Amino acid sequence: MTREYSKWPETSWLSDSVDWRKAKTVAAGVDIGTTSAQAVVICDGELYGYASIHTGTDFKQTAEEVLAKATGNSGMTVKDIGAIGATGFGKINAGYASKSLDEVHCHGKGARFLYGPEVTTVVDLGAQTVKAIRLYEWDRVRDFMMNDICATGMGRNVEMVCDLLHVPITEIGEKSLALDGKTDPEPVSTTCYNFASTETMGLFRPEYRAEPLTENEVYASHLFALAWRILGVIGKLQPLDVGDIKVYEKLGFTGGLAKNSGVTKRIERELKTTALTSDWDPMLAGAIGAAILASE
Amino acid sequence: MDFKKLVEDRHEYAKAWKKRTGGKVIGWFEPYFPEEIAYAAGALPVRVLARHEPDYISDKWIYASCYPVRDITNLFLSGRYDYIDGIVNVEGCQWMYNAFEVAANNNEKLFNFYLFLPDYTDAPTSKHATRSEFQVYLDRMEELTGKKVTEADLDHAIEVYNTNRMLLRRVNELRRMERTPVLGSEMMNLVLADQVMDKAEMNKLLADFLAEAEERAPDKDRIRLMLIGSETFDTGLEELVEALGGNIVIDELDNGTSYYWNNVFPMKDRLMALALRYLGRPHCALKDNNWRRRPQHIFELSEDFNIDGALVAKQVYCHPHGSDSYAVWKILRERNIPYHYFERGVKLPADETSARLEAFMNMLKPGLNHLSGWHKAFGE
Amino acid sequence: MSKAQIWKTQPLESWAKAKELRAKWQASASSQEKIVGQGNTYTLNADWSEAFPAVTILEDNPAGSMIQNKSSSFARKCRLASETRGWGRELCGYVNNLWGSQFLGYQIDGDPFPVRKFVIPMPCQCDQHGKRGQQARDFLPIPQWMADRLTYFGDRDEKREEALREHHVYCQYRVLNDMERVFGQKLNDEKLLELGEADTKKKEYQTDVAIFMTYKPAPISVKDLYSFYTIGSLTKVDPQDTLDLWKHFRDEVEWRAKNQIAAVGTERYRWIEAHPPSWHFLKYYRYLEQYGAVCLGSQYTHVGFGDMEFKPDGSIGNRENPKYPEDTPVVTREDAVRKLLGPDPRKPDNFKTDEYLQRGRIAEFAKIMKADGALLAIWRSGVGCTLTRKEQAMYLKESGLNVLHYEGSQPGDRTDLDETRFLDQLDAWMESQGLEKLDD
Repeated sequence: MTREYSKWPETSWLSDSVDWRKAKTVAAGVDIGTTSAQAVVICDGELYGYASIHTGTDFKQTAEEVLAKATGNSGMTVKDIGAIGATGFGKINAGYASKSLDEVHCHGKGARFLYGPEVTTVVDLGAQTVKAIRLYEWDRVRDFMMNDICATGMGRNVEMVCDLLHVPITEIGEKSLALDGKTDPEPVSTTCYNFASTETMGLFRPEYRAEPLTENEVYASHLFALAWRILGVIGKLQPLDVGDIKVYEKLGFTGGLAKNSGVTKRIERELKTTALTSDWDPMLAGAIGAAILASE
Repeated sequence: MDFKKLVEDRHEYAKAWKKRTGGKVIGWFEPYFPEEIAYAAGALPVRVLARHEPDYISDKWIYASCYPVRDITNLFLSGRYDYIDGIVNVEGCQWMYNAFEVAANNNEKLFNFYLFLPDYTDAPTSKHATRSEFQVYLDRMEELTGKKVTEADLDHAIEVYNTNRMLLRRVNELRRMERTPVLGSEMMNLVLADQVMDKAEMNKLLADFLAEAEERAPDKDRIRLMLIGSETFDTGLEELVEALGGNIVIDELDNGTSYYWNNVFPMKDRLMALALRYLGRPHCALKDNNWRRRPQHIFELSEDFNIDGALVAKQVYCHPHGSDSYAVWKILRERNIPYHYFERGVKLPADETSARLEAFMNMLKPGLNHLSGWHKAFGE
Repeated sequence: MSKAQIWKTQPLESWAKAKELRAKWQASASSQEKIVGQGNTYTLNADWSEAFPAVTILEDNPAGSMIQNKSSSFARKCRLASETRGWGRELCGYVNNLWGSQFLGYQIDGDPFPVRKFVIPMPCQCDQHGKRGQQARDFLPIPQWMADRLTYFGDRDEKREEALREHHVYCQYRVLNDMERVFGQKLNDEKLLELGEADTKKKEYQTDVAIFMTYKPAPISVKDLYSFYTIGSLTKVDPQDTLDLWKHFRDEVEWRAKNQIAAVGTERYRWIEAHPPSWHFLKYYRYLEQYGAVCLGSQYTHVGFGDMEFKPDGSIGNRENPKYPEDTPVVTREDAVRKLLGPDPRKPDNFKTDEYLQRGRIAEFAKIMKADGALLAIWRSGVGCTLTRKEQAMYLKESGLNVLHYEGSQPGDRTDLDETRFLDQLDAWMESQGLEKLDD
């Protein structure tokens, strides 16, 4: 079987320090995305369990499976959960949910959980959408932007290119940053990920170049294009800055692509900032937000 | 009356009209087309509206245009508009011009006319240039239809069109009410149907609709939105907003309110009266050139219709609106009007669009006084 | 000498003179304080800014493409700044580069962006010419004057033109008068007429050059022409110096044409194009020369910048524009404007009339230039640069030409021009016609 370079490892975790039966409130959130699904369980405001899996062809089954994995062998059933929030493109398939929630508010809320109250700019780097969210100090969404008709800045683009170039998705980011002190080459097309992919493949051909690009430089060119497209989404957020996009000191990434340093470091570099960090997986943000909002 | 169906059946309607009256059908592309002249000459002016259908032809003829232009080109090349006798384009968006010109080049028998209308609409000479162009067009229409257009014909056409615009304005006024009984999708269907029907016939339908709408009970509380941006050709967006608990209570679209906003003031020189009407209409993004009127017009509409937020929807590759966004965003920001900008095609990706709309409306909800019922004090 | 060499070739002598003039302009441009405006002067058929003591008008297209040519990373930054302020990223690269620099507040070298003191948008030929001017005015409250370009279909209709002409005259007259009023500068009316005459003469020379390019072998390629055509338009020097250079250049091209001195010694394939090339990637001209293929220009170069006309006998020549009546004295400024504009209000837009409204003309053009093929760029961003391109290809194919399209963002925007793919396409195009790369 052909190796799928775009596959990332599925994860699940259950706290061994929390006894959910003693919790006053138990809430769950599920984020059924186009290529991945996450579920979390929160007990008295603390993360108790989570799971992150690939979305299969059967969204309903994925919704069941991801929540089951998040509760693990805890003995918890749907009936034990006070409120369940569902978000993501496939949220309608989570029939057990008590609330259906929009993704922007879920990621905003989830980012506050991951990065603390100081985060004011959230950038959700999903498989099929990019969302930039500006938050007020008190959790209110001030503004948000979603990608326009273009998939260049999406996680799916990276998945495609990893399969094309035979480079594991967990490695492409770091490789793209290892340029032996050289600066990034010109980015490939930022318009369309098909254009970008063909152009990237062409970069491997040395005949038209005075100095052929190394493999890592080719990755850099591709991921730079992605980062640039995402900057276009972030930059439209209100309040709008004057001149260059200003420093976003309180920036937090969520979503699967948030784990790709080749994308996030380039965004940080252009915005002249360092993003906030968290011990938790940034892919969980949507589900965490859904759980919190459902219980409010 | 199901106005949505009227829009969907527009080709059948025009064919039936033609069969019934023996008149000519004139398709028009750009918003500054003086329909009254065609109408006075006994023709049926119909706006060429985009509809997305499987398309394997347009790519051979055009590249990179906006989707409506592609779709319109496809409709012409695939024979949907074969019943049309003539097409007219007024100097405006060049993509639309492209669709016009491909249609003309593909059918030598088709009457076609390119009408120059200044981009500098405010010059003292603009009205004379426009009047002159209208005269040339009128002469051509007389040649086409074989009918000598009299002053009485022009007066009648102006009267029918003014009545039509007045009726649409009256329906639109109902949208100012707090819990307006008129949904955005209804209004848009009315306006779209209006642009493809005989106005005299439409006026009767509009009068009936108005009488019925005025008697309606107030709707439930909805988030009040304004729609700004490129032309739309169906009510998919409006319906999505309504399904999510909102209502587009006002728009600033070429084929929305701008189409019927201002009337012709009667003058002895009928063509000059028409020239002044068309030069003085709320400008489309392309013609809003010399003195910027569009941003202020948008603001005034937003105030008059008491909106909670605005949707700025631009067709991909729409350069007039792309170039205007700066000024539009600026005024919305300055006046603290929340807005959400996005790109669209003729059709909307339903999931993605509803994800945005849902989030935007949820963003607006906290603190919206009218949702907590304050207006009840006013007896509405 | 290469074995494949067929024709004699030698460098152009006019180069030295052109470089001298450019240096002179650069020295004078940097030493003068000027009121900097934005827009185009084509609508008056004369570079009227030179008739004011201290006014200069910058054009958006070259300014935008210059940004891309000099620094791809700065251009990208400009376009991002522009996109995030509302300008669609799928719009014209010239505009997004230029106004992006305005939004950033600085230029490539870090110097402050020279904010415009006035703007004159020019609608019609490309919608974005009209819309782009607004940006300077939306950004800052500066004076803006519209200068409509007029057009209609079909043969000349003098009656129809009357009102259009008055509108045209008004637009131009107002600009000149208001410039005086707003900036307190005195327009030199006599110089204005001189500039008009110089412009007409220069265009005649340019048309002659186009005629000589129909010779086999082509005495110059379009790449050479592009180096000259900025002199007198972008590079503003004394009108007489400009004319002297153009005369010299024209005479040299004529001599080359008549003595079969080729631009490309291996010329064995002749091709035309349409509209501007990718200014940042002109390499493709030289790349195709490896196959002995020479580019003869486009209607854009010869009609848009010269004043070439297709004659009924199938030849090309200087356009015979209707003239201002000789027995009518030029007394007032209005008379001067009328004389400069001429009786035909469509005159400044002949290029559009030829290319957009009569698109079959490109096949005629190809025939006159004795072209074997056509390379037509299709630009994703920029309506004026792309309009009609697909349809033109059909007419060319019908007339037996081999046509290749290549795709990119816009002449001033490298985003989507996949250079590797483009050169591959050129190889395939040449090879499909039985041509191979020649030995150097």
